[in-house]
Amino acid sequence: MTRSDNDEQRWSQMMTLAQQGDEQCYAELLEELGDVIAAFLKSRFGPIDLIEDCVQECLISIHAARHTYDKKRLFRPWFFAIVRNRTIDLLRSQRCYKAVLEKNITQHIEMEYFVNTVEDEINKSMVFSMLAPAYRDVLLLTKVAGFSTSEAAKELKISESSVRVRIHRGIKETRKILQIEQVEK
Amino acid sequence: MTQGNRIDLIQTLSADLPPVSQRSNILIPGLLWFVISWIYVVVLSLFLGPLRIGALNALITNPQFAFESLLGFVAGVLFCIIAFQESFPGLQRKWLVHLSILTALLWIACYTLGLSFPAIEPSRIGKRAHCVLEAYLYSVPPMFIGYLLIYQRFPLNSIRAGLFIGISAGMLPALFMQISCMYDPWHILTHHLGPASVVILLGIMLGVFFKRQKRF
Repeated sequence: MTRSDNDEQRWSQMMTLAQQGDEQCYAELLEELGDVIAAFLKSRFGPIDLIEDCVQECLISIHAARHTYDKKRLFRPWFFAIVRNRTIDLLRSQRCYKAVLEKNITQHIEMEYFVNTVEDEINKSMVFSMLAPAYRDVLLLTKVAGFSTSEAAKELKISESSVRVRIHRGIKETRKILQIEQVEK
Repeated sequence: MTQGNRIDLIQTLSADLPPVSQRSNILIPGLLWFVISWIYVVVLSLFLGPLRIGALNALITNPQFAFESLLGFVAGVLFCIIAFQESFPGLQRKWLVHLSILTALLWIACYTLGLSFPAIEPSRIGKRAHCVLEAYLYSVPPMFIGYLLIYQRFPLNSIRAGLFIGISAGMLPALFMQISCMYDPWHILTHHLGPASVVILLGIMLGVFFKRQKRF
């Protein structure tokens, strides 16, 4: 039996117990899943601040959806469907990165320097390395560095509508990349 | 947010954890919704007016008419399935979504083709005076109830759930009007399928509304 099969069975049993109200088992499960989500997202996006927000959003969604888990079905598809969806939702909302950006600006860090640092960190990550350059640039500017659509359009010297289209398509591509469920801890 | 927040969050989520009853079956709510919606449409439709004379006979004797009706029914069932699948994380199958869309498009294509090659000679026999209003009456309540049934589970994409249930509910009257109202492909496209597009929009709006509701 592989480690993945072991996890599958253990998580399924723990969730079944959690559905019956076992607090300790549920806390252990959430802690374990939190680490798995963090590892999964880190391998896809690189070491960026989005991860902790995503982990916590996903844990809240898992809690709200726990009545829909059926022990007769596999745990991983149920779990990763929630993770993928919440990650994409959060990526669309932008808010987390704006907060980070504002924090850095108030600490008198040059915007250009900050953007370059983040770019360096995440450029090698799975999602951003697999995205086409056109989509990657737009997502980096709007979702990571917190640029508005018009600012990104000026930076890339394209129209605002092109930026919107590229964001939409980039997120769609990201969703596809996130379909790969292997987790490297 | 920090890892410290995560520990706090886990403690909050797992404290005083109430047992939950599993709602993981789509067959029973989906089937119930489909059957009860059909009963609602048929009973109310017969209450408001008779079936078109010769329509049931045409279902047996006219293969093109029977095929059109069957295709509409299959598309309705498929959209009902994918709408209820949407209510459980990880249950949606892409091929089934594609098949549903293809079936619905084929159904509409049948009527478009029918503009030149109608299954039955177009006529005003059996025309219902307010078929457009009836179409709304037959589809909007099932759509709302269907959406609430889905929302009780956990639709990850509430807008898509609204879209699918809107299509399935919009198809109910469009299909029944096939035998209860006049047969003319142009009339079907504008008066029976036209209202379905409004119902689909309503479904999407419902999805947008519920997307904004925090569940925790």
